[in-house]
Amino acid sequence: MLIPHPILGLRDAQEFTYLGDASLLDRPDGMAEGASEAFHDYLYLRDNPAGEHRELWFHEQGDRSWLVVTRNTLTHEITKAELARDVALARRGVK
Amino acid sequence: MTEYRLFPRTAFGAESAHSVSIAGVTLTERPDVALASVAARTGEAEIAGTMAELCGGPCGVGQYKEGAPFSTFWSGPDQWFVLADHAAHETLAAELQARLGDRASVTEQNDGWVVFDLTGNALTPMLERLCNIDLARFEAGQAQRCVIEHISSFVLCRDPGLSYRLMCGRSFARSFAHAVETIMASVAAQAAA
Repeated sequence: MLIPHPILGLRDAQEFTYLGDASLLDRPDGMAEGASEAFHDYLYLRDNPAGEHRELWFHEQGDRSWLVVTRNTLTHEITKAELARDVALARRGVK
Repeated sequence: MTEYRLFPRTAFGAESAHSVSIAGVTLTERPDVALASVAARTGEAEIAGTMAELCGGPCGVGQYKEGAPFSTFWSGPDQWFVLADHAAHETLAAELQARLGDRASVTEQNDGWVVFDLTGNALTPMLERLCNIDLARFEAGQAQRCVIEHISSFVLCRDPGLSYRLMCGRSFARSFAHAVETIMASVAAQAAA
């Protein structure tokens, strides 16, 4: 499997390590009301879609950036790869 | 006061640089290269401009730029390694930190990484056995991180097929050199057969 790195181009998946669902970027506020409930959901509840899935990959044997990769779990087709930094900063900007 | 008697040792625990030649290909350790890494702090991406001033020109994605006194290569977004002569710049990290101030984090890497020079007349068959770099497109002045013998490494191209600079974690020096030397012998044996 090749992952289209947004900076470096196509790179072999063996250079990367997989973390999990990209929703991990949305870490709840630990000081807010109902934080333990929010953290329970954050930690344990995941969608398990048969189809398009947004997930975090780490380019360990490359530039060591985190990517948000949109992958189809049925076909392994990768439709999008973004720097997780850009995704996180964009979300922060929206809030 | 205690009198310390300390002597510098290479990554191989020796007094002089490790060097092996097999059939016209030479792998030489370079303990005379000082190393530091530079990472821009959040929102300080324009540090690339200061790095370009220090290193005699910009060093973009995947590039390796040799110069005097500093050579540099790109290791990640807003991150670089800087190489210099160890005798003249033993405190390279401190020097860079003074120039870059609090806009960048500078880390001394002299004891973190070990540098090897690999030279010879036909290195492509060796490197294609060692790593997954697309060597047909790997030109002079390019740098890539990759895995060699399960060891995370940097490969810097000085002259395609003829001269490369390899780097790995210092504690891996023996294993790394063993892997490279095994391939050197193997390629030489195949060429002779």
